[in-house]
Amino acid sequence: MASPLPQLQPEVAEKFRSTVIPCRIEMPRLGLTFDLRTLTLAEALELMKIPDFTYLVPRPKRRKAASSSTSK
Amino acid sequence: MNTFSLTHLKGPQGDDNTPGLLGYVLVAREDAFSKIAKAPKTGTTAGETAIITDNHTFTNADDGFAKVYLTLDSNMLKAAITGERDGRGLKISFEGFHPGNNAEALEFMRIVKNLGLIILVPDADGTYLQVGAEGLPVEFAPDYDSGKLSSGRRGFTVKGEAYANGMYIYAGTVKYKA
Repeated sequence: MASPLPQLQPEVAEKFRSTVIPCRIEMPRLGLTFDLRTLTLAEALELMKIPDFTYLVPRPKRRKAASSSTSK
Repeated sequence: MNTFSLTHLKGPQGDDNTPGLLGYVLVAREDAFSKIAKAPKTGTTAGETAIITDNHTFTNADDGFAKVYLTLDSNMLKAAITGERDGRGLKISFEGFHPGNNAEALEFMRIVKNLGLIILVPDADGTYLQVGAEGLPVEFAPDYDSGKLSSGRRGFTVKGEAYANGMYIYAGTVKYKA
């Protein structure tokens, strides 16, 4: 019976992690309604500009292979 | 500004003042919240203490408000004064009709009758009025009616009751159940 958990769109998931299981969210004060499951990357970048927007957090940037630090 | 000093109240002056409610209500269990936001007790501008601007937060990542469809024009929210002189409060009552007797509705109504709830009621202009607060939840009493072959309608008449000190607008973030 268990249906797969809702996910962010792959392009969004590449850059952001959702702090909740993706769902519909309304922000009445700002007149915004969006669905984390269908959010595009452009929309996500716009939302990240809202100061108290806590539903997405940027993924830490992957460090490049640290070849110089390990080689002697 | 002193919160308890009165302010001028103007008429609509062209603003919308549509009566009635939208055809749904948002429902969440009181015990699902990690924080139930409250309106400030004092404010510096008129009306500030009647708006909940903080966000409600839920304990579990998949929790949130469940959207319950209600038949258009079946739902109504009222608040009546209770108590005695020098000690008055409000008794808020909500009523709406949810059609059908599918399994989800039967289960929802069976569970909800023994729960404390926080509900958000959208008025016709889309503003959410919050009913229920921490420690003063809404209780739902869903009455079922099969209707008759010749008349009536099949479904649940949901009546909610809560006690409060006032009516509050919820302007925080509304997170839906995943």
